[in-house]
Amino acid sequence: MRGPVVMTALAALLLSVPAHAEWDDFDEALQSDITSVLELRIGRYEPAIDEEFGGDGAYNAIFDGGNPLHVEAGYERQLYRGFGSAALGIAGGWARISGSAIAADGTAAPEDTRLILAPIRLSAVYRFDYLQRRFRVPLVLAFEGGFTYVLWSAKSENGVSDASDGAGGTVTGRGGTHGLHYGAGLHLLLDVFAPNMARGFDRNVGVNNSYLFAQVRRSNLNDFGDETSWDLSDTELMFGLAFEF
Amino acid sequence: MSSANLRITDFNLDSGNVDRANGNWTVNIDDCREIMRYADDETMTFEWVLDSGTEGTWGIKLQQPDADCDESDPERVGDSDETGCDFVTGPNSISSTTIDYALRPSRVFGFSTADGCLTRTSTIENFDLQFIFSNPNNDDTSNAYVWYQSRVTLNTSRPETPEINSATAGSSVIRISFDELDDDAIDYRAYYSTTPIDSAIDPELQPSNVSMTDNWSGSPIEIENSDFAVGETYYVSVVAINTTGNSSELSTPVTATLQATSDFFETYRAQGGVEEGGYCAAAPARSAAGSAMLLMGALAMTRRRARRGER
Repeated sequence: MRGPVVMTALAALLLSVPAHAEWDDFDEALQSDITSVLELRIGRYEPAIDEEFGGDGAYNAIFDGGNPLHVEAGYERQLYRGFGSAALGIAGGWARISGSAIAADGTAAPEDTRLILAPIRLSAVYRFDYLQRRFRVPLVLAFEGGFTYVLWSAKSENGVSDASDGAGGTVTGRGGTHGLHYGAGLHLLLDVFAPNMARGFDRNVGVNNSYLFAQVRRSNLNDFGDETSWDLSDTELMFGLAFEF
Repeated sequence: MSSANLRITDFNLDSGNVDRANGNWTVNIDDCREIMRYADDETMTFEWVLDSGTEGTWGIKLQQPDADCDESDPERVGDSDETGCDFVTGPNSISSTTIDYALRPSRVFGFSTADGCLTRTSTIENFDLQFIFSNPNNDDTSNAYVWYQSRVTLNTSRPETPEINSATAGSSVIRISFDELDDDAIDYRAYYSTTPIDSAIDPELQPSNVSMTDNWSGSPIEIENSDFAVGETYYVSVVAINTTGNSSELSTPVTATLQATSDFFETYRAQGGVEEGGYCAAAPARSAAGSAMLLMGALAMTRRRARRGER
């Protein structure tokens, strides 16, 4: 069902693009140089912690299988511009989910418990913007892959959790989990809807191109299969804004 | 013309119930009990400010609930048609544009004990203090007198009593869920104790071993107390608080026993979860591909720096 709806919406957007000549006036040669990209994105993150228990473990019991809001900001430095562009980027995100602790009788206790996730990503990014620059097609494909390190913290009402290690000691509920990620996204160039505003944005702020984008990203996060690591992997659909400058 | 300001000293009262601009004061149950600590002291002070003139006389009548005083003449006291009117003072000569007069609470309300606040047959009673001034010209026209009335309303009405649906306890928190009343302005408060709570006793008269929370705007109420210990059973009850500040009778008490809880990470570990926390993890042999990628990335960065150095 979603496919036709998305296609229809996209077609409507493209049909609403201003007259071709108006956008043609937006000569790339008149723009400032492009060296960087700033991205703000939002999605929902559901770590695969319960995969360890066949899909029904503590995460489902306490957070009801929730997928908290995940916000992320990133910066990319473009190293190549030609047939598309290539860049290296860094991004930081944040997600938080809370639920009720479990009482000794198995019921939901009044105390809250939380899991906070803060992924940090180093990525190589390729943007296929050749069609945009050569033929004025306001769509850009972007591909990324790289390394992710997730800082996480599990908390109770009293602060960071201390769980039993089963041998008389405790395990502190915070740490980092790393792995790889890769993804692809479709960027819609917003400049075509308001070329004059876009020119002013470049002239006054230095932002050459603004994009609205959707991205699918797969993260495999389990310390590369370490047997003492949980699994924070997920496939996320994210939406955001990107600014080339 | 004159104006009047209500000045009430020595009491820590609910300021929301004092309308100084109009000289009105609503006394709720807590205020009443506080006031009655000084029932026979002259602690209720009323202040009158005259715009002009210091000639003539003044007097005060206290109009009991349902009475109808003749406000026109301070000297007409004791008339047969003035049943329920208490001639407090006067006629006195006006010597200043500001007149203060202090009254004993027991004289205003007609009782002198804190328990008297809880045993009213009528829950809203108006006691009106009529300040009457003679005209400085002291003539016999209808303008011969001016008067100002300050109203003290003793409001001991209680809201409905809410009913508790459930009380759940963790290791440090007791959560009480209850049916809220159909009034958004109502607040709620919980009472709790390790000994049984007698809900037949008015909330204001509960013994000192019964603790209470601050006001909450609705259900649930969560009670936190550093003295809570796992295994202890608490009796809990709730009351509704109306806008006047009066609480309802206590709801039927229920019990909740504090018990150990497991947070997310404790539950995960108890289920056999393998994560051990910490910020570094050594990659095992089977994940050589990942480690190799990291190594290649590090090498690439090193070579890039080296080239820059050659330039």
